[in-house]
Amino acid sequence: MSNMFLEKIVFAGDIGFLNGLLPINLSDANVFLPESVEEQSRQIMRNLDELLARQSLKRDHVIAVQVFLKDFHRFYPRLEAINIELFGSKTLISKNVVGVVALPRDALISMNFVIRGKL
Amino acid sequence: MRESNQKSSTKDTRPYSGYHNRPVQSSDDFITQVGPGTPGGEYLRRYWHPFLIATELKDLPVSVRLLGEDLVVFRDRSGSLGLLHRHCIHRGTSLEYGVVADKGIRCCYHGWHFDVDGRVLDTPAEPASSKIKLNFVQGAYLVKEWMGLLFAYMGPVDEVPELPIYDCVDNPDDNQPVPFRMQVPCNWVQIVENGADPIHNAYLHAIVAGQQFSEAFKVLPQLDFPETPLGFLSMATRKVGDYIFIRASDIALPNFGQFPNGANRVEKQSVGLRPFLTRWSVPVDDHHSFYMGFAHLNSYNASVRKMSKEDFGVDRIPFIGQTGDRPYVERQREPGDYDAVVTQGSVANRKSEHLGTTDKGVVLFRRMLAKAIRDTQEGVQPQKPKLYINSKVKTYCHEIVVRAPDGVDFSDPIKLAEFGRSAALCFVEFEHLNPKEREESVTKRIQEMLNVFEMGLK
Repeated sequence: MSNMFLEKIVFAGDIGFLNGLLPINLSDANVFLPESVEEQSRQIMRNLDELLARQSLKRDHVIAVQVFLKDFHRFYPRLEAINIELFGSKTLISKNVVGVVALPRDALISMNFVIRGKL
Repeated sequence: MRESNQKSSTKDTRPYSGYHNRPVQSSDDFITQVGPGTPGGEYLRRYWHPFLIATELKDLPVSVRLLGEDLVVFRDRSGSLGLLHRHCIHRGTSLEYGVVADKGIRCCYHGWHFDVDGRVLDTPAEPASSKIKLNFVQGAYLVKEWMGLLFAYMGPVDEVPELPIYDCVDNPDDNQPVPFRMQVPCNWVQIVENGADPIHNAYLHAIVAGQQFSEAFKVLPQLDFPETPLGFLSMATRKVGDYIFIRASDIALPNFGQFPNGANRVEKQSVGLRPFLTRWSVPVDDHHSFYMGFAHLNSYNASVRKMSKEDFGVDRIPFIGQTGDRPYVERQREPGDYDAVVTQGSVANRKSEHLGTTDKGVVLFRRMLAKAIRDTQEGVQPQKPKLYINSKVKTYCHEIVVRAPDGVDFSDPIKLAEFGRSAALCFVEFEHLNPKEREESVTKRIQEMLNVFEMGLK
């Protein structure tokens, strides 16, 4: 399955950008997306961890996340319910969530991350 | 059925004869309509129906639609549950904007105050001499909470049945019921019919649309639908390797069902009352339903399917194809129950069906439902779940895996079906026992039956 998105952190100086991260399986894009918004969110975070690890980085390096969510009114409370599981309770991350009509691969959720190269 | 059948009984089986074989457009209003005053709606109003997970109701009222009626549910500050007609009897403002009071709810517009049973407690803008509160009530229905679900009774107030308490919730010992509620955009009858159609487990869940159930489900079964005191069993008996595998689901009027998990690999012997899902197909209106109830998390179901209680909730159960939340193309590549049932139409066009021998359970359910609706029309009380004094409603959903005795040819479909039915009905025979004793007695009786087969006496 073709994917126009580059699942890669792009750096500008010490600041990295990881945009349009989808709940796909990074090693096989043909694998079906998980069915629930909770599982799709967890898949995105697993993908984030893998891409960070490739740069010898960790979640602590993430400074901002922008979440794009289909069917906002239905899914936002469910996302909120797993907020701590996804982003932790102590980490200071700048976050916002935006409702959208559609996302690539018919995903329910997609995320953009801003990452600093050094702690 | 062909459109031309309306004029002629001659079948047109020529290739490319779509023009001559268009579906007849018709609906089965009698069994599918759920609104007030309809035959089906009046029948359904003789039962308790779940409509919300209790934790969905917090401090604010929640608007709900049930059996085609717009309602509002709330828990007043004293903890009592109220389910009222949504629009205030004064000037029609929605009570979802009402202010929950210590007792009942107060309409935001002019402060009319209603108790949870609908009585008018106060009309503050009216003169003290006003008799309004004595002469009118806000429409209200009874609500009860059980197993994390809220149930409503929307029928005649002088015919309130007991809320059935089923025996499935505390067996096995480590069982933990976890509620779920799925929103399904189709008529409730289609959801029940899916449960009364066990052959779809082989095709939709194993052979055609993907390996959603275990490999064992690829083996085509013998189907049977024996009656139980609750309704009937929708059952399939398979010969899988050295074993005989019986999977029997409860179907009970009007909309109750219980289903074992679909993950049994048929690798070891077991006999047990083992529902995975206890579910009601709840009519929201003619075109929308809730698939809701509770899942049974226990060591038996966990041994074949890893689950946690967080996997269940609103539009959430951990099994593929139960929602419309998957990408369209993926739903096309591996459709699930949701796709099969919803795409029959918001109300399935039954006049255009071509039923086969494997649809016996669907037909049985339709006939039972139609009869129950007719009985209700004629003033006969429809059959309710049989309540046992000081006990719970007995259920029969089970799985049986037993090793087939050497020398007995269970590839003979008649013999296999006969054994399956006899074994399944042991759970009816021993229903007077508690679940553990019942399982022990059934296991013993099945072994005796197998011995009879082995000795060549059958």
